[in-house]
Amino acid sequence: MERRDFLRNTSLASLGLGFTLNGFAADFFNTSPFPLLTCDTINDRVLVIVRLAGANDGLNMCVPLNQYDLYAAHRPTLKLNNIGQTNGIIELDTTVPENKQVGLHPVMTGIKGLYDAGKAQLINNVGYPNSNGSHFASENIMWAGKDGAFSGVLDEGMIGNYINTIYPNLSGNPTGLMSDPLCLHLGSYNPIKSFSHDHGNRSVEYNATFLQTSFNAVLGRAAPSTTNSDHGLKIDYLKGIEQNMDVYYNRVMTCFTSGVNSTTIYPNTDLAKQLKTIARLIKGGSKTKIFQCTIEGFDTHGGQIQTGSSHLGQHANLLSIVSNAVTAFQTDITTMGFSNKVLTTTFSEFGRKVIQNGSSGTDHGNFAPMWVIGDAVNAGITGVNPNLNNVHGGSNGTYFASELQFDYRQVYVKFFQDWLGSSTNVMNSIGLGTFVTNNPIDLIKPTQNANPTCLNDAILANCTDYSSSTTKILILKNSNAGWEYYGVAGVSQYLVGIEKNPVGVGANTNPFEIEFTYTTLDCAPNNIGCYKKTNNQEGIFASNDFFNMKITSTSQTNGWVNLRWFTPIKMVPNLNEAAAAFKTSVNSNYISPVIWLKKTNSQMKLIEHLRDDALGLFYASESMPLALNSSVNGFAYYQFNMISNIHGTGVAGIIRVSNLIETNSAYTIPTPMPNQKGSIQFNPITKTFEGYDGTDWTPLH
Amino acid sequence: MATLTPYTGVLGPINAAHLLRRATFKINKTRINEFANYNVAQAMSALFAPLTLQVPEPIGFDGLPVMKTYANPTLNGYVYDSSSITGWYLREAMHSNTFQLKAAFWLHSMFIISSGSDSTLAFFDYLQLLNYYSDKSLKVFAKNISRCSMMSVYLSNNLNTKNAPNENYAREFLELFTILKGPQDGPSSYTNYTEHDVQMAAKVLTGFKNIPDSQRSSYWNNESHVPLNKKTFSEHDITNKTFSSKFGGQTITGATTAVGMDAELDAFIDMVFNQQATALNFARRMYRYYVKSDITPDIETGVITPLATHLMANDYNISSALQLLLSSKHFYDAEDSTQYDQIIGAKIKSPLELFLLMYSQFQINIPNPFSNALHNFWLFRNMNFSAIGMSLYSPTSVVGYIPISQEPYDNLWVNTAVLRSRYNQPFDLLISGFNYSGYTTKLDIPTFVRDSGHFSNPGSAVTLISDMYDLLLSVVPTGSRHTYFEQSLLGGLSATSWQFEWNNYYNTGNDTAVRIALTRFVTAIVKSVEYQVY
Repeated sequence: MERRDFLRNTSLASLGLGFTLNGFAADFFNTSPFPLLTCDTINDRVLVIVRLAGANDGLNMCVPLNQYDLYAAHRPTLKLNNIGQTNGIIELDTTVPENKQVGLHPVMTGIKGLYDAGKAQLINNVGYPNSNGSHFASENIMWAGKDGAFSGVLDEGMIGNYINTIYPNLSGNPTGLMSDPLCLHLGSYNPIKSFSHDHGNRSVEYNATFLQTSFNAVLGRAAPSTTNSDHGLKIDYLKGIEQNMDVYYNRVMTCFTSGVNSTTIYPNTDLAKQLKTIARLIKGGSKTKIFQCTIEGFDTHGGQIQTGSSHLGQHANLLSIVSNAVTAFQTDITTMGFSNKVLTTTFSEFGRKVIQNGSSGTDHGNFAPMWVIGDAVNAGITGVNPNLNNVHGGSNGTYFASELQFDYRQVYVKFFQDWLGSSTNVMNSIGLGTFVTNNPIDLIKPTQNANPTCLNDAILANCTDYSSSTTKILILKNSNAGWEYYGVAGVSQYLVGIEKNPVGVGANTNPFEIEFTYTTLDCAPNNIGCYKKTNNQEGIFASNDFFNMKITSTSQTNGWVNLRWFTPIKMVPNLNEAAAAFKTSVNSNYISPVIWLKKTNSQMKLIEHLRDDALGLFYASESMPLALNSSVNGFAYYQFNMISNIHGTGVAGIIRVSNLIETNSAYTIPTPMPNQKGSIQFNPITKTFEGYDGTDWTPLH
Repeated sequence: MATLTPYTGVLGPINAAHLLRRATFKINKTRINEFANYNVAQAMSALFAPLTLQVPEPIGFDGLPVMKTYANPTLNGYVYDSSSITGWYLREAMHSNTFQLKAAFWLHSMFIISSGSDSTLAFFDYLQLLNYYSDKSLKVFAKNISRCSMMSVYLSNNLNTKNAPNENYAREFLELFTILKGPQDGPSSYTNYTEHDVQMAAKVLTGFKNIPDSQRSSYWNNESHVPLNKKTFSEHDITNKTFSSKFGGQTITGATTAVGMDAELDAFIDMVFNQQATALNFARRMYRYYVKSDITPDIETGVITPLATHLMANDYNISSALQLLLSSKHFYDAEDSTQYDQIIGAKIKSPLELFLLMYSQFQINIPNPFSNALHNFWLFRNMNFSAIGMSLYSPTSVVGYIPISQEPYDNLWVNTAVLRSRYNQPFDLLISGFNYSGYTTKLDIPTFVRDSGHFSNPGSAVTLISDMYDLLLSVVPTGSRHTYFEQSLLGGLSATSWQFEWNNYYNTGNDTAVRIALTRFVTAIVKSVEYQVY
């Protein structure tokens, strides 16, 4: 008999519970058929974080058996009964050394079952140096991946940075490549700082808490109704818009409706419904990487126990909810056959004081144990019981700082590397590199460990598959001072202005009419087209809006005209943002300003024409900062004078990111390819971009 | 039954805030408290005081006035483009205590132009005309706008001469600006006028020629001090103009001198404004702009018709009619207890209202246009109204802003593409801060909560949330929505925890803990459907 089987049988027998844990059949725990690890399967793995908001009292969750008397002395009324006594704590594992032996809170039979089935690891006294006793501050410190000594601005999240690193330019944007939100958050309306990145300006979080009402309506709870008043109708209208505007909404709802839970009976608690939702979403095809759900109420300053019955009360209820919900979740995903893809962990901002307070509760402490649960987990106990002698006396009541056994970031490095398969480069780039080395935590079973054979830097976008849509526009917006300005219906910003009959030698005098085609790439990340050559740390980012124009009237130009191209202002931030994110993610050195390209003599098809030659482009950082000429109607334009051939003229914007400067000998000018009309290159001699018209390279600006 | 029966008693804070949000762009705690103690007469007296401008004209990049005006006829400066002028209006609008500048935009929304169609000076003159007549007669305004350079260029009346008549302006004046067509009732005939009338009106309007910027100072109007187009008698059609039976067959005698062109124009506009259809149109436009978009038969009978009668009886005075409307029980939802009649919070903010009310509510410090001229310019220019669905002073057609002029009205301000931008763009700019040359415009929420005076007891989560609702929302959230906003502040923690964090901030100045919670809280409110209505 396997050791764990033996354990399970004996411990359950001693509790007199037989083979049923809180109503859940436990048989499946025996079976954990593992497919052999292949690196492809790593991409399907997800992490589920169960947030115990308010700071869980770890000491009443896991009582050090070797120090029970000391524990009881610290907690004269809160203390749980010892093992063997009525409603006493549950002995977790008798096979471990005495200094590791703990007694679980008696309500946590579900977790006990998971442990015995070899699916749970307990990590002792997790926290961080210079513990902060404020809920707000401590949560934010941990979400930012920092510790109490950090004095900077906590505006970036650890998970947000992580996701943004492995999915550059995809985070926070529904795309054809990744239509699911990368991080989905249930159970709390609050945005979680941990999911933000780029200095808090962006977030990878999709907060689906507001959907829980819809979920619950399906899961058996009604949604609130609204009124029919003037005001109420406006609100209803806006709510409808709000839901529809959200691409993620549709995707999440699709996963939810196409997913079906197994027949597992979940407890009727909010947390259980959140976990049930997560299981259902995964079953429905969700590729979300990190789920978080929340249970609140762990801030047990008073009324932690029921007077006279320390095994009952608020804390017991909460632990019971967690234990039963997590157990049901594990049963459900096992039955549905994807428990090997899911790892579940608990998160709480800090622990509570060892010494209880005067109102049957515990005040803010520092360190606490955490749980990691899943088929792949290396079951057991990591670390030893905290030493209850190493506790500040008097009103302080917290552990000595030396009792910190594991930094929470050591645990997260294990999640990111051993479970989700990210490289040490990624850990370095998100500031967790120092927790990679000498990390004593052994979290994932060797057969399931992504480290070291399946580690990857990033999951990069391949933008070559995007389609484009083209719109013809023929809307004369305005004429002023000899210029005609054109734009798309409903958009106030012009696209182009033409001085049809400018003054000067060789200027056009013929009347003519033009037609525009306006093309938008369906390249969803940030609405930009992108080409990446990651091995050389290069990328080209192109605006998704560009246009061509041609003469449609029988009259043709008989001389040159002047053109003004208006910068698609809305694109500039996205272009810059995408390029900057890429530059950071691949440690490139150079990033260009936005280059506005004009192209004559051929229809500009940006996505195709950039593909080959863009990768051979030369561009370095300080060259050619183009200045705006002026503006019309509040919008800036670039003016191009003496355009002699207006047929098939186009404009688009690009940004180039590269690790090599233009003079680097590794780069040569690509040979012009006759069949590559419309290609562009950077000429290092003239420091200009050039376009290829099928015969010659001519300056683009 | 909806009526214009006046509201009685003091307004109280909810009605006061409602009135301020609807009649002006400026709302803050001090003003709410002030108006809460007023009865409607006192409130109207305060709101309808004469217009005072902080800065009477746009300021150039060098921090000096640049526009040649009646008061400053010798200036000859340079403005970058029309956004300098727009910025000037926005700055004045968000600081004005009285109703005129919001009413001026109402006039603009009916008498449409496009700011780029003529010079920046012409655009300035147009805005001056709107401002000047915003508390006066709509009819007199209509006469003056018909001779406004901007309008003439936009609708081609500068090309309208006796030998080459151009009906463009005359047609839009009747069809879109004043009396409206009504259903067609015969060949070339509509309920309110005929094609013949358009031709006659065009003849009346012949010969009013644009003036170049350089000659503006020779054409100041004595009353408004805004230059009006010159009368070129030689290009005026001097025949008698006889209108159809829609106007009682009235004949306007052709002018015999340039001075007589004024009398002709006056007679034509008087004739149009003597029609009840014209008054009804303005009454409905006023109601939709200030009250709500849905006009039920009950409201048509009880509010619109008497409001139109009032307009006609008072020479179309805007102040007088608007006071009548804003004083009514109907405006304050006080008329009956029908649940469907809930005017407070029943309008979706236009992007203009979204921006200006937000800046006002958060008391954003606007850079001084004299000492920080460039920053002032770029701040307003960066308010990207078009990105959230409004081409400010440049709507796509003469029909104007579609959500103001067409069914289903204000719902059209929002669609699936725009709502996200409305949530993010204006507010994110405030949170991240707008920098220019070392000067930053930014909303610092902890400081705002501590120092603005809006918040009586920020350490109390209950009071803080309630004060924030009163400032930012027109209807106080209840039930699960209240829980949503409350939890965006508390994050599952107790009010005691918040008190502790706030005290810590108050005593030490360390805002680390409260900043994130407060930002979360305010963001949740601003980026909500509730904040979109007012």
